[in-house]
Amino acid sequence: MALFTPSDVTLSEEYRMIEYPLLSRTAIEQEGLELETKQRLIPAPSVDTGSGFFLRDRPLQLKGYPVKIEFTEFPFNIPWLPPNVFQLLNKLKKGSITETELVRLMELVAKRASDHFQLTEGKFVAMTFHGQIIEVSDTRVGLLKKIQSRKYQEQIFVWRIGSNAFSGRI
Amino acid sequence: MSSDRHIFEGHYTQGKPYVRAKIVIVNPNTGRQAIINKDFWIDTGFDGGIHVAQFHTSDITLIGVNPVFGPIGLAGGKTSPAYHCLAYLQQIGDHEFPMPGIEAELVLHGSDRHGLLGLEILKYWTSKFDGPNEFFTITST
Repeated sequence: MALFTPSDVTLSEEYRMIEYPLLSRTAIEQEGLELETKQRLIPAPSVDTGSGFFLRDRPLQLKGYPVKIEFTEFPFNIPWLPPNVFQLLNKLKKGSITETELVRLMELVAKRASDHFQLTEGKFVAMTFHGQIIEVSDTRVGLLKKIQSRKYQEQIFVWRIGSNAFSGRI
Repeated sequence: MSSDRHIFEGHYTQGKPYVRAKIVIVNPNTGRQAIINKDFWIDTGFDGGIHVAQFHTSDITLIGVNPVFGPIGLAGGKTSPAYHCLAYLQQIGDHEFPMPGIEAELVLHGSDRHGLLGLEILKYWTSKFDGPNEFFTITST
């Protein structure tokens, strides 16, 4: 049986061959790009998003509950301290620290704290042995006046930034 | 005519300029005081205020003031832990300063019988040392 093909259909096929491939390729590419973008933004089911909810590519925000960024593991008010500091802190806690080790501990903590908080050289500071700054002053007397007879939960020490002692021989 | 006010003058003791001074430590919350009366060496090589032996710490803690840790630089470049608190210099020799006295850093360290008065105190006055005659004067302008 011979196939009959109407002339208008032939024309239409020819039209498709010339015009449609171009149009359809562009549309497919566009769809592909959109899909790729969405997949990149939406977290995969295996990704732990914590307690956050997502609607498509945006976090679901409930009315009156702004998105919060919480840093429970790395508090900003305490600098990172190297492991040898913690060894010395344990010794201090046990009361088995020597004078040399105590000076070394203060030196290490003060160095880390002054770098972390970018403290100006020559300032007098009071800080905890974990590097938390309690008070800062321009003078020794000013600093001691601020901390005199105040109660602190942790043991504190005083330091002059940029020096290896609070006071002494010149 | 000089407007200098005389504070102290005296001969050296055992080759060094010593003064008798009264130091007071106050608990600002309770008003309780601890008083230290002793001989102090005028030490122009010490950049702090007042230095006394560490055993005085127990008198200070009794009034509720807890001196805090802080390293002190010693002669020869060595650093040693010490305790620090705020104190008032109220008297040198017979000269009494207006109340509450001169505010200064008090360093509690070592076991020396005598104390030290450093530059943070001496900056308030003019001190003249006559080495050959072993005589010194302290005046304020």
